[in-house]
Amino acid sequence: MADEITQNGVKIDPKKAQKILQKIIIKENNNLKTKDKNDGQMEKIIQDLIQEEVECY
Amino acid sequence: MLLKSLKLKDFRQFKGEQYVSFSNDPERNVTIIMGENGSGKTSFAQAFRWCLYGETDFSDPILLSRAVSENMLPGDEHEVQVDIELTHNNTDYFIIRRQKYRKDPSGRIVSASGQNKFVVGYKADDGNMKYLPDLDTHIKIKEILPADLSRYFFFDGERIEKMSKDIHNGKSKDIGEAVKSLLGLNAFISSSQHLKKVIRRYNDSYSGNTDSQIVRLISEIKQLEEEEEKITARIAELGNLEELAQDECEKLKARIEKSHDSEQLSQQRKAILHKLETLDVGRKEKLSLLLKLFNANAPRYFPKKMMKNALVMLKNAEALDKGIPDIHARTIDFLIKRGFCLCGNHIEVGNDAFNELNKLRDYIPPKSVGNLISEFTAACEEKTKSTETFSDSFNTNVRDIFSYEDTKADLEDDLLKINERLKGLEDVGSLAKDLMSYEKNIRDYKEERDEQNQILGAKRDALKNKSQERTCLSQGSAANRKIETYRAYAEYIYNTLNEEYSNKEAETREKLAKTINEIFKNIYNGGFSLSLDEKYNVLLSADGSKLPQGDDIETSTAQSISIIFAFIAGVIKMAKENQNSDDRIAQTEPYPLVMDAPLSAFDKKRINTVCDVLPNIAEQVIIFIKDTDGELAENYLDPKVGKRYKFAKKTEFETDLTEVG
Repeated sequence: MADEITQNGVKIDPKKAQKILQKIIIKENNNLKTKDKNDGQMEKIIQDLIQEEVECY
Repeated sequence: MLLKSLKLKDFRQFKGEQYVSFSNDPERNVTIIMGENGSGKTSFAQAFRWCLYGETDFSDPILLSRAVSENMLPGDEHEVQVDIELTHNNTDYFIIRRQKYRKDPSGRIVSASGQNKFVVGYKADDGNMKYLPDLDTHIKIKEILPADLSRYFFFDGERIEKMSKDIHNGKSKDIGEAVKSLLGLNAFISSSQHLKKVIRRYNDSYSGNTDSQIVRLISEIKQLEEEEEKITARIAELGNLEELAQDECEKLKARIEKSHDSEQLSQQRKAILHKLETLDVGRKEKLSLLLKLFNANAPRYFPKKMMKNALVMLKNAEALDKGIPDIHARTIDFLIKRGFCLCGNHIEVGNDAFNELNKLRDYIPPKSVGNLISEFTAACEEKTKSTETFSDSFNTNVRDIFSYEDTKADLEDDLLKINERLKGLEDVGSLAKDLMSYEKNIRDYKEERDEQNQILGAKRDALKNKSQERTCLSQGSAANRKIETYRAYAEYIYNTLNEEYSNKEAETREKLAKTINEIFKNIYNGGFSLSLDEKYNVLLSADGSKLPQGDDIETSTAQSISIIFAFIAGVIKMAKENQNSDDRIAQTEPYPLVMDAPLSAFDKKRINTVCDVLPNIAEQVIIFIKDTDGELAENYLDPKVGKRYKFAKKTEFETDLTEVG
């Protein structure tokens, strides 16, 4: 439990959050090179990444 | 991005098609292009800028080779074209820019409007050539090498000092952003922007179907977020405005300092103008007085000589007087009336006595010549006497007027000298007025920013409270609990990312500063150190100086050039290191260094150092050098030179590119 912290009263698993963050940056980095996705598409990808990881208990 | 080749077609001095292939050999990564002055080194370097960004630093906008345009007939059209072949992110790109020119009926060369073509093609994975849509070409070029930063990779020695001042004083506002981009920090920036939007998306996703309080809170939170965004944007805008005004203030202060003498000169100028005005009034008065004096006296003064002569002549007039003394015309009338003369002769109208007596009338008063002469003499004497002072008065007035003219000429001469000196100076009064206005603007911006910050604080508090309220209410709905969790993760990741970005950016800046300083010390080796401030401005300080950090010092030309070299080499070195790093986040591209006449300002020792340092730092070096620097550079660079070219100047307007060895 020492690894858990709270954000807006919601318990957050920092490892999971860090994993999501790494994935987001890699996706962004790739997109900066390819410019395949627009801003809206990238937001959707990030949203999906968060939901996917959070759901994965 | 590494350059593979450049092809020119009728571009400036380069008539026809001319082609250069750059060395991409990692061991021999230098391409040397040598040429005498005026042979086209700068044109060649500018061809890169024109092809990539459609701009050049030439004062003459016509790029068509003169050797070609001279043979064109009115109505003829001809195209200039530059092709660049490069590799970026493991993809081969072909960039082509083309501009059509036409000779008009008067023989002038004009660019044919709408005839500028820009194409970016690339070799797709299947090996086929593909072309980017028009709208994407500029985005791609910006991604390959932002125009703002390109000046530092494609630079020429003659403009190097200005570039040094730019990075030295933070004049190029986007340089920090461009450097961050090259050093691989862009992913952080775009992640942060996208995450902020994701949080907003979650805020909009709460379901209020079962709870009217949640509906109210969703609406209030949305409104608060919009207000927060507006205030944040305004605060940023005020910050920019304040920075711009501060910049203007600095410029004005410098101009005021420079034109300090102008205040004193302006006052002198005003005093002279006032004196001239007074002189003019005095002169007009004197002139009017002179004319009055002339009009009043000239008719008497100028006949004076004649009158004198007449009076001399009239001195003898008594001899001419045939009159009878003391006899008056009334005496004649009396005698005629009486009917006999003094002599006793009878007088009758028409007889001899009558006629004789009447003849006498011409010589006796009132028609007596003697009397007329007396009257004339008296009048002449009176008139002559009254003009006795005229000459002196006239001369005095004329002298005064001439004196005014002399003084006026002297004053006008002084005025001319002052105006000449003022030409190079500015009106301090007007500058001071502008300065006060900008200073007032800064105070206003600060005041408004403080107010906005207070409002922002209050809005954020309200937003926090409403969000907490919504969190509590969300517990009643499974769907909202999920959204609450996602949003909490998004916010946590957003905060962590910004913190990481901040650390990474500071770490990168520190590393860049260290790299730049090491390279600078290697090149310049003169007891100075470089540092970077938060905006990536380069600061120079003397080693062991007691000056506070950031207290910059003036630079010499050699120092300026060394700073530029160090800055560019530092960025390139870090970009190269990132390329080879295992850190997938910060991976970047290598960049070439294209330098036009960079060595002229250095002594032998420093040319040696630069030639030694740059090819080891940059992935690719393309260097244009003059004959005078050439031997030295070629000697020092020789082990690293992969390709050599020479500009062979045929005429003032025509140069051929030939590969050497």
